[in-house]
Amino acid sequence: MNQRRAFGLAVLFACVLGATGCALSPQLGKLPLGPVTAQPKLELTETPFFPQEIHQCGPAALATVLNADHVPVTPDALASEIYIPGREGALQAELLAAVRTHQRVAVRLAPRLEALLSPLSEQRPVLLLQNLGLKSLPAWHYAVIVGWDASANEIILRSGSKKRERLSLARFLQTWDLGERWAVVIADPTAPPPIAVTAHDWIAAVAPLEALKQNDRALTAYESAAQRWPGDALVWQALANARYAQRDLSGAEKALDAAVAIDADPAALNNLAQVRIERGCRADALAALDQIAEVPPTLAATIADTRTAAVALPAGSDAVCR
Amino acid sequence: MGNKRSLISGVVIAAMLAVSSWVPANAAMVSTEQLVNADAGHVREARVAQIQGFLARADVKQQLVAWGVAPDVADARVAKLSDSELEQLAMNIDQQPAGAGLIWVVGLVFIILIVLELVGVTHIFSRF
Repeated sequence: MNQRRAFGLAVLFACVLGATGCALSPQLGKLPLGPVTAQPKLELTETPFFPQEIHQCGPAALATVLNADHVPVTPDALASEIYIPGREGALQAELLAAVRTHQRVAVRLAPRLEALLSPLSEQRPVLLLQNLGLKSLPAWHYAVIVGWDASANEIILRSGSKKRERLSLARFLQTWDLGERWAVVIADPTAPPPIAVTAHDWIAAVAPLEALKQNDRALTAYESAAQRWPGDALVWQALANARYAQRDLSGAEKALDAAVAIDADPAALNNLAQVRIERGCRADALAALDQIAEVPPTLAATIADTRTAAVALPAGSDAVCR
Repeated sequence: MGNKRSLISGVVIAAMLAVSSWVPANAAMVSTEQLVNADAGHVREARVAQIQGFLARADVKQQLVAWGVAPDVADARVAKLSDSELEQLAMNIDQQPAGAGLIWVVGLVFIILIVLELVGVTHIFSRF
């Protein structure tokens, strides 16, 4: 009995570590993955490599993806931006913030294998978080995916001190699953968005630029988003906010008209009313506010302020508005 | 106790003063960051969010300094975080994954290999 229990425990450990193939092991070549079907073997061999110094996989991995996107920066320089001595590591949030200070954005990838691998087809390596330990005893590690080989069923990474680490798909997926499937792709906000990202994730990556006084770059990023995803209301709302910040009121109103036509969202209607107030259009501002079907509690105060401002406008100034 | 309370109220008052100077005349616009976070299910009223953001910044900075980041560097680093990143860190910075290294994993794998060997599942070492 004892022996059987020990054996069971050992098998469990072995499975957890991927030392044996006791689970059904997924095959890269057999999964319905667009990028892999198109190119069964792909490796971005030009991706630079920075061997990790002790504990500093964050700066090394980040330097890898930034240099791959033509941002010349060393792991040492990045360490002062993201490394935390007391944690012997780097936090995801600080990593994202550091990317923004280097004129790029880090866009979250959907937690699916296809989304994770797609950027490589565009010559973009992918930065990801792995958990090399156990769920209850994690060992967090940043690495960069630079390729795959369907015939060997392997994922190829720049990882730690290894320039070319080859992990079986099963082992790779295990470390990525335990890392909560976190992965980002680096992109230039002034260039068209990567193919594999969603509108929401693109906007979420770009929005913090506005607070960093990089409004021009945010505006360009939203404009390319509006071309890529013209049917997405959030994209038009973001574009409107960036135009508004540059005092382009008529441009902001046009974008908000487009957003509201897709979805009569209370925030969009509030912002449309605000823009119309600033254009001196009382009746139109009130018309936008009246379209709000149900005021969400979190926006109640904002919408009430907007209405007060609209009502306070002198009546009869609407002639210029149409 | 009284000291602590007056400290807290001092911080809150300072936060409100700071916020009132940030809030521009166009406070009635809902920002893109708010919209994106609303999708994630935690939208808050804009002004509350700004005050919480101010306090979160102080919290996160304090934690970074406690972990050995120089205070002026910590200031600059915290200033670069977006509102949602700050909020996330302020909630549970000590439980966030900090990607580090592989040193102890190598040790763990070794120990498990030895265990497997001892219970007779594998015969890696007996070959040598």
